[in-house]
Amino acid sequence: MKNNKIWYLGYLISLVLLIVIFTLDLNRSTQTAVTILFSFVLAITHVNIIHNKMIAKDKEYNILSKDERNEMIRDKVNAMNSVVLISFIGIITVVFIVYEWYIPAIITGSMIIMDPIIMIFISRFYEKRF
Amino acid sequence: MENKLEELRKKKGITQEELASALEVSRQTIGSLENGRYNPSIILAFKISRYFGVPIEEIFIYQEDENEE
Repeated sequence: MKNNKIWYLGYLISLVLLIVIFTLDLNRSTQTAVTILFSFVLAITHVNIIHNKMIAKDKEYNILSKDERNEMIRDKVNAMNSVVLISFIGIITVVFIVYEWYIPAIITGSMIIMDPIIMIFISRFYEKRF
Repeated sequence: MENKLEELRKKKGITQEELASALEVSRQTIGSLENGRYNPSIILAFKISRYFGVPIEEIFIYQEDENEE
């Protein structure tokens, strides 16, 4: 329940962002960015609240969420998904370079460089934990 | 890992769903355990052992050579 209450803060943040969208005179790019941020925050908040409520109330959903085999499958899927996505980003980076779009290429290239660094930090965190 | 889970379950006269519900896992996990596609965690192995009242070593058969491959 404690975790659920923190997530309700997301609704508040979404409301604030909505007010910002409709009240402030933002330029088009900023308004688009704030709208996307609002959608993201609202979606994540709502899904997590519903998930936590179902965990508490629906026994079958609780079992399926916490089932060890399902957790193992989720871990493997996330790991493989990460590799596939980084590969796609790599291909996109090459395309950007071919078209001489260097700034987007630097951004996507940085993501590829950061990936193993982030993995090292996350790995260190879990090594201390387990 | 080979196991006698299906044999024990049928001897007790319960379905995979009933066993899954008792062990608080999904039916698919029970299915995967029975056909040897998935090996349980130590906690789940103890739960199974306690449920059937049979020692773990009599349910799950660990074969050294098979696992070294």
